[in-house]
Amino acid sequence: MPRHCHNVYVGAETGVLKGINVTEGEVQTSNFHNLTALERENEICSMCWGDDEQRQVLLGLRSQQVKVYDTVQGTFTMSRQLSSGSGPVIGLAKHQGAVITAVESGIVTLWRYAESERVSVNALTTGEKLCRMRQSPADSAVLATGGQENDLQLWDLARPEHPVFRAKNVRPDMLDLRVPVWVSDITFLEDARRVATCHRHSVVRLYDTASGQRRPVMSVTVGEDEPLTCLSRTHRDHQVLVGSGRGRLELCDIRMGRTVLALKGVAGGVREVYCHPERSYAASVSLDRFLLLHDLDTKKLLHKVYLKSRLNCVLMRRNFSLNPEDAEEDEVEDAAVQPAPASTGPELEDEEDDLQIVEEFLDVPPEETKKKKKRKLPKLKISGEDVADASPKKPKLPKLVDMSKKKKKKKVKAGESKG
Amino acid sequence: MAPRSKPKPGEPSSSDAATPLLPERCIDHKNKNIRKEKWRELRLQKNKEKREARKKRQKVREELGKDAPPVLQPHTIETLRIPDVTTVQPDDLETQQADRLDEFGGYFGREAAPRVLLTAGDFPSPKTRDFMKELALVIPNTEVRLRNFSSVKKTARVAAAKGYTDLIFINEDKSKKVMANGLLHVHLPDGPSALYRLSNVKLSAEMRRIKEFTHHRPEVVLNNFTTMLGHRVGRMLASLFHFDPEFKGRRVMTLHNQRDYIFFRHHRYEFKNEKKCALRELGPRFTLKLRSLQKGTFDSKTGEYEWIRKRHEMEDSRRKFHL
Repeated sequence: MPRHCHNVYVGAETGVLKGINVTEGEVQTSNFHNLTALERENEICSMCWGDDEQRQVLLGLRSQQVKVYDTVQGTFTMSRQLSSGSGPVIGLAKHQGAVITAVESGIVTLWRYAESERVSVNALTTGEKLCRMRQSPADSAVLATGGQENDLQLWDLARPEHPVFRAKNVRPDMLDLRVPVWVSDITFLEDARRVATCHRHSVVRLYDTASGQRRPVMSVTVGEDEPLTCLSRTHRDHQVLVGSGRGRLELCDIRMGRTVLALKGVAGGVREVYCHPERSYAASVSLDRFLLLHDLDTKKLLHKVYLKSRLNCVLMRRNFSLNPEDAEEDEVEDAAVQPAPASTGPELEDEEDDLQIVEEFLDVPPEETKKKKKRKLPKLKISGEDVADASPKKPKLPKLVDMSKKKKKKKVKAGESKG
Repeated sequence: MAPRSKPKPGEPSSSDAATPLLPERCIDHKNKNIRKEKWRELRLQKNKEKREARKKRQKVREELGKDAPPVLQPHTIETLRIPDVTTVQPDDLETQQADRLDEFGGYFGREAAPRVLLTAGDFPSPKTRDFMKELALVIPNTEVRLRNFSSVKKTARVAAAKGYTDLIFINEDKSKKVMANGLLHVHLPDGPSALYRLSNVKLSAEMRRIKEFTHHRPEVVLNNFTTMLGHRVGRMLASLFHFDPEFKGRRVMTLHNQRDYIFFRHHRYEFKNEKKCALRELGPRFTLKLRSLQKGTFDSKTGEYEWIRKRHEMEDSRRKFHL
């Protein structure tokens, strides 16, 4: 199987990087490490994509090493030992080709080749340790940091002396006690001016950085004593997926200020959550050694993969889909051969006319016409490594009409129709 | 032989003549006497068929001798257990490496001998105190201390600084008048914390065997810890005892896992001959059930859990076990 077929990458506590190829029917996992040469110091603490085409994966290790894995070549191409501050690398990003690292002791550095051009920021002005660093999707020089007793701060690498935005804590509670702060994860919402953070003290807070208000705009309490450990924005801008250390995965609506959905299947603490920006997939990785793939619209658990080591980080490709038609959409987009209109995913309405044209070119006659228009989801599969039976290779549908906006119908069932 | 299963309520009764399933709905009759008669007849018929089938099988076994098909085993919940994906394979390289890098890697690599600190709540009742004394005799290198109103987190920090490797808290609920109902095992310095429900405690003083205790380091037997979680819990419990047992003492501690309950037994054994071994049960016996396994030392509010028992989600099937 070619290496770049993997559409989900997972980093484990033992230091193993795993690539998983998730398709509708089955899941295939491979390890990218020599299993006899693992060290505790090489625990993967953070991961991010190295480039826009998602060909490189950057790994940040506990020993302050940064490794680059090339998905096309299938090897580790670079490894660099850093020496800034102390503690593991808890955040990674790329800015104009240079790597930005954040370590637990609070130092955030932009590593340019020339030492004079390196930018270093001490994000830990208060507090004990830094927990997360994220990059703004709009401006790659803007970073958000947060940690234990260290509230959200936004930094601009062009002006590293002072943070661009420093959050203020909420008002003291009803006993007039200061509310403790432990930012465990940060995410920028789509417009990049609103930032959501989740705290180990079971709150999710939303800040509006352009409004001038330093206090959070919204503070949502999720559960009781639920140490929230990770956060991700979803394909819907007003919703955010939160994972807790007690194994709860909750979809939180920040507009309404409450949780909308709790996803099932996690037995251990959730370490990282990654939602697809356009489609409704959510990948979560937890200490009970499972990778879970949910669909946020239908609330179903699509895949549960056992991965043997405790897992720390997860990444999903932009072209990730369990829907073969989406895969073709992405190919059309990537190749840019046909003047395809901007497709925003399979969320659009069906049109009867185009469906008829599709049916003409199918080998298999379509099933009864009276079926529902809902998209049928595959059954839950709990899979271990290296599932023996591989799915047959699916030949492509002829691209005759512009059917890029089609939702997959029950009739055009993946295994049957194209064989 | 395929496992017998109850027909679901909506399902029509199957007409499998060879192995009839539970009685068909047509047996139900409004008149109780007639109903009783019909059920009795059905039962007699079933037993008769069973006897005949068994006779046939015995005949076949006699005829074929060695080539006969193996004896049918009755189904138990253990045989019908839903297979777990996380079952540890003995030759799995990744698990072996993970074990080496584990929190218990130091113990299993024979680097650090365990030193256990045993304590209970603030004012332990007499029974709990007796239990602690016995546990201290059973687990080598254990110290019993009074809690002195310190918190769990603080105790863990101080004990780690003083060189203890494990910390055990016995919890009791005085309002329920049960002696002790919880056990918290914290592995130091930063190891996992396991919370168990403790039940069915029987002291050796009651068994009047406490005078038969010796001070030899015991052997440890771990039974039936098959899944990854079970493997980890088994290692954690094994790391309480010293890794070099003194076989001269013929003392063995058994931690037997069955249906997610861990049974602790303490025996002295003697081999009579090659095949027979005599066991004498000494020492306390108790049962543990894992409630949660937390990564890191005890921190229930802001810590991360490796496994939490979520009754409604996890225990929806009687045939599904986690250890």
